[in-house]
Amino acid sequence: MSDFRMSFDPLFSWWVIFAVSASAFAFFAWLELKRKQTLFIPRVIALILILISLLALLLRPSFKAEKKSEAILLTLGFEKTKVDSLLRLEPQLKIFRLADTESYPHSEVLGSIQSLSDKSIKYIFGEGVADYIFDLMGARNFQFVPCRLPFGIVELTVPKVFPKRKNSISGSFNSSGSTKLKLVGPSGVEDSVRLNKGSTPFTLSFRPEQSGLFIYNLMYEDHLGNKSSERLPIEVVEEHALKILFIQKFPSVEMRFLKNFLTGKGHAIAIRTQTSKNNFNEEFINFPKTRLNQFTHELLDSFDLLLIDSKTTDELTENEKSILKKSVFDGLGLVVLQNSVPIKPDFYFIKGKNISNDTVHLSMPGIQRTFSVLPVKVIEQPSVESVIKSKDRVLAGYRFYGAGKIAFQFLQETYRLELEGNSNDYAFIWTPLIEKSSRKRNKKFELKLINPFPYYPNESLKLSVLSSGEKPAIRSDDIKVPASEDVLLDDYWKTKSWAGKSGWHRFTANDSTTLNYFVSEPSEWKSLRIASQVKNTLLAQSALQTQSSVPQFENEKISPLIFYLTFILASGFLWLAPKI
Amino acid sequence: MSGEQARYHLDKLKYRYLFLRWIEIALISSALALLAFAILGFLSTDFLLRIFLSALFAIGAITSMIFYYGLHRLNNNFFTSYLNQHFPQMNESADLLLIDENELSSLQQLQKKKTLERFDTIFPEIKLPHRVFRSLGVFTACVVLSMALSSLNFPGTKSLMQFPKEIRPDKSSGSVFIRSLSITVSPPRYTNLKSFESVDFNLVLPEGSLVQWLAQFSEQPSDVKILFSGKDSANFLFEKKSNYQLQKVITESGFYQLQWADKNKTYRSDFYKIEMVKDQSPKISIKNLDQFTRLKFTDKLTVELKSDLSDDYGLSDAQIIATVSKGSGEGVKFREEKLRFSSPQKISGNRLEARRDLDLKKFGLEPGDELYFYVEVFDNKVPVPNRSRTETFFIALQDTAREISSMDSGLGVDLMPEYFRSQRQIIIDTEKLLRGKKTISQFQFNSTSNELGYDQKVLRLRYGQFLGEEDEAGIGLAESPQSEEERDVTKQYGHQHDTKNEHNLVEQKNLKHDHATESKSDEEKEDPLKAFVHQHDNTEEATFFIQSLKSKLKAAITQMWEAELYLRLYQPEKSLPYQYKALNLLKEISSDSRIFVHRSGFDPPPLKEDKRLTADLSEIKTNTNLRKLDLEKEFPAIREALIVLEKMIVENASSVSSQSQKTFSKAGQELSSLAIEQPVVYLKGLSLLKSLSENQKKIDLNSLRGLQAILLKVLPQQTSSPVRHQFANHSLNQKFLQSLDQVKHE
Repeated sequence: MSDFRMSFDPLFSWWVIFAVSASAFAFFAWLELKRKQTLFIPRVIALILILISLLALLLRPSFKAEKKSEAILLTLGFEKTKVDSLLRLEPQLKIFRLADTESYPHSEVLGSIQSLSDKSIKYIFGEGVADYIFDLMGARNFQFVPCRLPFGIVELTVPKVFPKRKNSISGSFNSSGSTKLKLVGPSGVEDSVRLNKGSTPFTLSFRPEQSGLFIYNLMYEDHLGNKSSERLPIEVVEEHALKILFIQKFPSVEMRFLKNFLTGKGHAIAIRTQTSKNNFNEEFINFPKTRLNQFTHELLDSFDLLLIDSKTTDELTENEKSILKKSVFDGLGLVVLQNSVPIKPDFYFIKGKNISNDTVHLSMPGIQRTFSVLPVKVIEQPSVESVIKSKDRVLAGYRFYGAGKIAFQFLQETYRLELEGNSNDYAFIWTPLIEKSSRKRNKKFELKLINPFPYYPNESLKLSVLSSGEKPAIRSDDIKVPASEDVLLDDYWKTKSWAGKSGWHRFTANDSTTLNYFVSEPSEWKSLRIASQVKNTLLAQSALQTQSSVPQFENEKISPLIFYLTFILASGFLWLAPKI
Repeated sequence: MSGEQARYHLDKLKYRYLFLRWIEIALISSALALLAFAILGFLSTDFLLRIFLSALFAIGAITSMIFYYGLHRLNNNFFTSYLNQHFPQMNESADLLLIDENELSSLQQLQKKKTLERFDTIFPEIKLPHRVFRSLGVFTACVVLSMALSSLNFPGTKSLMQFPKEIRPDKSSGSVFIRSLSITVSPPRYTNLKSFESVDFNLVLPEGSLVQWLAQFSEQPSDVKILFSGKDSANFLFEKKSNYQLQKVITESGFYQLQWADKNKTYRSDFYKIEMVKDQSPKISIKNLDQFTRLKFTDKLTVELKSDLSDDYGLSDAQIIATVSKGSGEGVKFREEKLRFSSPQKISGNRLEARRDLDLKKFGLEPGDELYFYVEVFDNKVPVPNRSRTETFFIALQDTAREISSMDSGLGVDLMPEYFRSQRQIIIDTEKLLRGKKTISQFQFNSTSNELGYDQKVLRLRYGQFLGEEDEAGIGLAESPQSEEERDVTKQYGHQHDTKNEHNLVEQKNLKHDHATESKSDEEKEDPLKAFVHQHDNTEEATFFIQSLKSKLKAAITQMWEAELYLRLYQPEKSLPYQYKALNLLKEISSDSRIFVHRSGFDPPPLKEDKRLTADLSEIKTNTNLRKLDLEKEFPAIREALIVLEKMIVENASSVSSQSQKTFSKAGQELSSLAIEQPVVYLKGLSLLKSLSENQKKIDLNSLRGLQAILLKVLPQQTSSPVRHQFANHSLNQKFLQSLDQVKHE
């Protein structure tokens, strides 16, 4: 015990204890002085001993000692045989178990989670512990022996859900036999899948028509006919319109149909088309009239996407090119529609080689279509992200350029889809390209829940806030919650809140950025919760195992019995002293 | 027979007797119950009450009959006394059969023995008393009677029925409500359907029905009316006390809602659908005839037409519309006749089979003429009956005479039944001749070969006509001189247009190839001037065949010449190769003639090169077009209602806030326009929206989910749209991009 340190756990406030003790000592010392009896010094010593023992009883001293006894923590679902085996190897281990865990011989039930703080947990068995419990555990250096994964949904990923398009949720289902899994939305069954025994991944699709907060149900029926259901919260996000600028060397049917498609969706469009050498046709739809005759930073910054044909880009002046380049670097999306091949090398150049094949078969939802396409094949390069691909040939895609993106579309005469009335297929071709290449609009804050779904009432929720410079003021359901900035990373804030009752709740930042989340009932999503708890505990274990093996200490309390006896003996001497 | 056997037989008699009597009782009691049920129909409309009372009747009848027949105290003594009474040979000693032998005196034992023997002999003849047949008669009579009474009682007589349901939109006391609402539907008379009282406020009725609503209110309301499909209304007429009635003829599907007012408060009922069953058009089927019938003049010229006619409410008339077409080409004449079916005379009823014999001679049909007909049927709908008709059926009388008349005059009619044989037929016949060479005589062989040569000649002449060969100077019989009309065969078989412009037509691509052919080079040799002059009215050019075809045809004819030559020389084996060549060429010609489609295309006027791209653009100026498209979302209130509903479902709401009530009310207005068109789909949703907007009902989670599903059906399916994404731009992002750019430039 090289490092002896005393610590106290006072019953009352320090100054109260000292004030009362000092005044009591002074009073009794004065009384002893007044008596004028023999044995003065021993009486004073007895008085001091009384004072010390009283202080010790009130201050409850303890000393820090290196840990001697390590323990096992049993959580729900632990496997007895594994614990038995461990105890055979390390019989000195103490055994603690959580209140709701089944009993084990010689195990001690933890009265509260708080008491974990002074325990030296070496092994955890079972489902592991919730994330917030790690905060309570003082020294953490344990090994985790997980239980078997429960039957049910053990993994779930819900991406951002957009209206009027096919969205998918994916996950993994641990099943004891053949199981049918259904996704039921407000309008009825959306999708279903039959799963085999074991842990099977699944993907379920749905198409919401309305934005807002909705509750879907994941229903499953096992091979024995047992039915269960889990409430799945889905937030269908609002659509925000884009601002798009079209610049054309000459009017084309393709551009005209694309313009009609985008205006029909409520986007703001500005078009400039050259009709003759010095004449242009300008059109502004849902967009204020602006001068389009010259590229300026202001002009380009007011748009999210620029659709331009290669003939026009060829005729841009060097100054205009540098302005365009800068704007794209700052975030503007640029779609260059090639009029012909070969593609001229420029900053928007996509490396490709000319080939002879100018038609392509493209698999679209439910149908295979043939398109005419520019006879160019994009050379595989990591910087190019494909959006539409036919076998190994990239037909539409983009690459990053600074914060912006430069996109290309090699498919030709896509307007005939609209003419044939196949609007869905037309949208399938253009929507992802335009969406992915457009500028992302800045917002001041980005809110993100660190804890994985599901969330339960009265459990802590960790929220991270990424700020673009401003100090965030976060509210959880209209209650202000304090946020602390990361020590190392500027503008990265964290806060903690406790979920209220079951239902939808929200976090809001001072720029009205909102994060909606759903608090499930404690009886819901048990399998998912256990699976993520197991995963978290495993992660915590691996993270903690890397820590250096410094000696672990624990606080050892000095038995109050010593102080009681001292108090009685000293008091007894004071009583006896006048009689001697 | 022993004493035990006798007892056993007596037991058998007992069971038989009981069986017969129970049948009797069942028949009589059921008959009485049925009769009672029918009679009670006049006194009460309560179905359950009627059943209960009828059952009581039946039970009474059963009990009294049991007592009457003494079935409750039936034992074997009954049968012994029956035997004593009806069978004198038993000597009044049947009772001995039941007494144990030990208890009998010796004399009695002796008598019992005798009785047993007699019982054994008479047992098969014993007929027990019963009235089963009479009971069956009574039962049948009662069934008929009760049916008659029920039909009198059922729908025609106007309701003695108690009004079954009340409508109470406002549950609070003091509010006026409809104590009962009875709806009588009177279908149009022509449907022959009887008036009936609807058991549901949702009406399913035939088109054009007169509906009478009779409403009895708890107190006297004011301004009582029905709102039809949310757009039309009709006021109720005051009848007596607090009774109101309204009559309306329903001609379209939709929904209705009752509305009344009291003390400045307006009450509205739920929505009820009106589903109108349209009067279907009659259905006709002709099964015994094909759509195209071809008859020979020698066939029986009477065609029997059998037609199955049916309609949902009844047929009123049917007729056959027949058209006789005589003559051909320009001289075709039509005559239309309307015919009645011969059986039945009068068309009526829902389903019947109508017949008529079509005597083609009576129609004046001659060979080559055709008869077209269809059957037209009308139903009994008033004022305008529904009409339907069949497809047109064709009966053609074959004109065999015309084929013979167009035959070559030089041919023996009996020998050559067909006009001319095809090349393929000639080949087949030649091959047949060669196969049978050994079995037939030389003379017969030569003769057949010669005949085939003649056939070949006729075929050659036939194709020669297409080439404009007016006469021929070949082997065989000389052709008789033909009239000018007959000679111009191309006109007979062809159909020419725009021949004036023929010299301007684009020459066919494979013309080059034809230059190589022998015929072309021959022509050039014969007429060296041809290349330099513009020649019209050449008989060879005046056909509708283009050059390549002509040369092929010429080649075919040459092959035919050769074939004919060898046939005439009685060497059919040498002729065959030429015949095959001719056949192949003819095949090519038939496929080549499709080129006409291509040749009849549009010839655009030539472009003037010097005028291209010289337009005056001075008036074209930069045009600026500013537009604002307000793309309002369809069904905004329904979309809002969906959000509110979802919130209510999640929060398990027990009441509707006033703001939500307004939203639901607006959504109801939007939905009502759709409910008119599809009441079956949307009416339930409309009712739920109404109850939510008026906060009437206790909120039920399932009905909220149901409403949500209905409202989601309303939203149109749209294509996906690109959306703008947002993100918080952290300073590190900027620094990262700048560093990346720097690295690139380094």
